Amino acid sequence: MPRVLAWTDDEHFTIGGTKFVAMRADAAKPTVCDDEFFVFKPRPLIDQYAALIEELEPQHVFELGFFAGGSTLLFAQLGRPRRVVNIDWEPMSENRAKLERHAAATGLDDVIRTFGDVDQADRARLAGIVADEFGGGPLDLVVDDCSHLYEPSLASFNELFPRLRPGGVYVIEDWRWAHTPVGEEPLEGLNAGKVPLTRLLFEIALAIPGAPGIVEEISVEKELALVRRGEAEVDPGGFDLTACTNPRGRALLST
Amino acid sequence: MLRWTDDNRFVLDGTAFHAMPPGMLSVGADVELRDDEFFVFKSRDDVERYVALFAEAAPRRVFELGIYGGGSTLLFGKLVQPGRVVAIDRLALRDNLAKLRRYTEAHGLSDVVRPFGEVDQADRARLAELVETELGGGPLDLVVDDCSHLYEPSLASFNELFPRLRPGGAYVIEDWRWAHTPVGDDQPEGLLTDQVPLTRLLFEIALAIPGRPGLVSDLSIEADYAVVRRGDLDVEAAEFDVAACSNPRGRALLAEAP
Repeated sequence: MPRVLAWTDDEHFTIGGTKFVAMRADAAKPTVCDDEFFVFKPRPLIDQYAALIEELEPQHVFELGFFAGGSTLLFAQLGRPRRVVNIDWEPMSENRAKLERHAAATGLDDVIRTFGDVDQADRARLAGIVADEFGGGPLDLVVDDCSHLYEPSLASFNELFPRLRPGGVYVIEDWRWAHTPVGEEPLEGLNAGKVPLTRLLFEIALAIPGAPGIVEEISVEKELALVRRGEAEVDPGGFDLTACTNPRGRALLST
Repeated sequence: MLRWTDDNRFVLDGTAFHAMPPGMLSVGADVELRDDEFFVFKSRDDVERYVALFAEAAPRRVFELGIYGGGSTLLFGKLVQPGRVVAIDRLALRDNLAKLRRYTEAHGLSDVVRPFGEVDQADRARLAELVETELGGGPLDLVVDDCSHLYEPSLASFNELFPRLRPGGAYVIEDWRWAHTPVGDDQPEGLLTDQVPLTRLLFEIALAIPGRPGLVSDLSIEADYAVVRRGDLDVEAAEFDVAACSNPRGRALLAEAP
């Protein structure tokens, strides 16, 4: 039976005996005590993940982006998966040590595996981690909350999306940083000069007709995009999403 | 409620329908329709999806673009009660509409099913007028665009009708992928090579999520259709243009429309 997530107020919840702190609605920095874990997501998003986990009952979870480690622990506790892997580009030594202590104390040390100093664009490294940690079995859930940049996010998608089981879900968080509301300053959004992550979402949509059966559905919301895996088999080694459309699809996007 | 009598035929409340058989579009399979049957230009899966959508959301004000055989209009009419479905088509469809009207009059549904031939889906003023006269000014619960499938007229309908949806209401865009064939297919160009792909409208809707916060809460794209869910932002329908709901950086992601 999955454990229950219980909110004590809009910024605090528990699962079993573990205490979590969510992102505040005003995005201000919260106070996090030593025995609490910070999840860099607001309450509605955490509830959305809880519903997704209830639906998918994921056994194999791959998370990109560590920050304070709270979401890694959330995934490990809520769904009772066999394994949750997390990678981050930074070493994140202190936060990883805190998470590992808690995991050992709560019997989750065989479930949670964290890896610092891993670039999400390093496809060979991601493939190696999947082989080592999931025994080559298919993934059920991938959460990309990492660089949020187009090129590295595309690399992770190319390597990991083909490894999802049919019906499995790939979540891309915070895709909209290049876009600001019309009529407001600034017009340009963040990371001027970088390719908006939005392009990845468009390429995923174009793959639906371009490579039938690989992507079943993409659902785009303000905070995230959910991409559901179809049933077509595909070799992850050579997979390139950007090649999954004909010239007419590519011509829709600027060069 | 709905009972399938064979792979493509079903009966709903005593009325016989014929769904689109698999392969009808690609291999040109023919449909032999009995006099008492209505043809629904949707697959069995699509019919079941709409039945589930009506059961879940209980829409009462429905606007359908594209009538063809009138089967989906009648199906929606059966499911929408005690509400109303307004349907338009650019063609006159005299025989199909006459058959539909004979049926609705005989079954007390002429107030529920309201079909209008010779209405262009790009005629925003006419769509607005129909919402006023037929649907009490809205808000709408469900819009289904299964009409021209061309970018410009579909954009016009979206601009006029999407703002009139209630928060949480759904706008369905069917058959968006005609410009795209599978990679490796011997027809890499898809259909209607001189037309802007309808896909562009989906991308503009996605860009409106951050560009006009609260307007679109969710855009879901699958192979056969896209569903756009209305957020709770108030928008004036007459002035609305979803293609303008993004700043220059969003627009720069898309190639310039020819």
